[in-house]
Amino acid sequence: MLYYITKTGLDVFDTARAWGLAVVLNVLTLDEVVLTDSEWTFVLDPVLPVPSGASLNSQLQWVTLFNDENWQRVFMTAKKKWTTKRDKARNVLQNNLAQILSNIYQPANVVSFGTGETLPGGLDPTSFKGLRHDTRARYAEDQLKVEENHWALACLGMATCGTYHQESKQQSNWLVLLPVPQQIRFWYFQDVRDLLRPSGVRYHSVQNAAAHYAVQLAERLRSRAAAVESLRDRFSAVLYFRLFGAGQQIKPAQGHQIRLEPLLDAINRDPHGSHKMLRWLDYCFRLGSEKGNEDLAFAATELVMRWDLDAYDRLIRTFVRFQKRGKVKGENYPTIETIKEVIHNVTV
Amino acid sequence: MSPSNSLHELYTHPAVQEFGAALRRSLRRGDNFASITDLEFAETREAFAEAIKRFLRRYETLARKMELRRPPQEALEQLTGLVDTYGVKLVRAALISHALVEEEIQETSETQPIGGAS
Repeated sequence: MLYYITKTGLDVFDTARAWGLAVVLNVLTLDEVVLTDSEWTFVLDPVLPVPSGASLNSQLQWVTLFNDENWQRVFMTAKKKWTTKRDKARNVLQNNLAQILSNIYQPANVVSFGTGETLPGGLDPTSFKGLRHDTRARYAEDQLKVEENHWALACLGMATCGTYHQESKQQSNWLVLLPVPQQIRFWYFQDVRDLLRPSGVRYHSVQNAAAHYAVQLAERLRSRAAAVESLRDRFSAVLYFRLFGAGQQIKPAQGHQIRLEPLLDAINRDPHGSHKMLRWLDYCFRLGSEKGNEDLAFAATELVMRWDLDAYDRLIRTFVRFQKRGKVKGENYPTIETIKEVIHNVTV
Repeated sequence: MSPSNSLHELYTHPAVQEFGAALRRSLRRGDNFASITDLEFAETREAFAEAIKRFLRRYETLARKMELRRPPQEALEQLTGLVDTYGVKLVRAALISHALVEEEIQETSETQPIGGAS
């Protein structure tokens, strides 16, 4: 039986709903859910059918989902009211389960905006005021309200599969990451979040951080692929945005997405051979994170984001300069095969 | 836009490999970073030819001193042809790509002087 999450154009909201529904179906069937990006919709296909009259309330896996600290981050703009919002999301999903499943069973289901629950800024930066309309000196934009069933699915998806990294302990600066599934078999949400676990590296920009996380995600997928000799799970992109503390409020900064096709195509071609390429890129990010090495970090970021000849040219020229300065140890020099693998992905 | 088969072809072309290896040797053993800078600033066919000429002059000194392999005449002719076909930017990127890789074991003991392209 197939279920459909029709895309609205709000990338994070759509992807979070797909993850949220995957979590719900996984809890109900206690088995894998195949999640596929099919252009205008995410299609979810649970391996086992959802039992008739199924309920979420009694499931232990369901209850434990709501103890996760990510809920506080999803509702960071609600401050102390985050627990109320979390409980509301849980109750909506529990009470409206039959309605939700029957609705998203229809391929042509749509999400209506304007009524329902306010989309939290910690979930999707486009829900912040001042971003959707021209406010012209008058800061009076309405909140972005969405249907409560879809709101609850999105909150669940972001709380389980989204990643929030605090940039510094003193300030409320957060880097938020969410992988976009292309064709995956979903089993346990921690497997998704584990792909973007903290790197412990200091970053020079939000793009720099997102690009390094994309490389790390690819390496984790590669090691899984190498173990079974095929790339089972594919992600098309990583959505990222930054939130920062502005006085008493949280505000959105930059955000975008990094496409993962070049990295995943390389893994798909050769799960073992692509290891050296990913290790070299990871090394460039780590060396670039040190003070004074920013140009290497930015050059590596540019390549991972664009994969074009200019970005490649810039990275190799910067790397040669670092070798000349003696900043690169011999064992970290790339091999001919490493460079061949990188070149394979560069578009001209 | 398509995956860079042309860059890949250039990177594995014998003439580029020959000159790339010489560039790598001159960088590691002769500390000749000036040739990399010359190549970086070469935007036109003429500037690229001039940069290669200067590199070969510098490399000749090092090759004599350390008895290193020199790129053969045919490789130089082929490299010129590649610039005409693919353009300076691609050939330059392929050459510098060879300069940054680790030296292979046979390279470190390579002392075979053959007919040079000076």
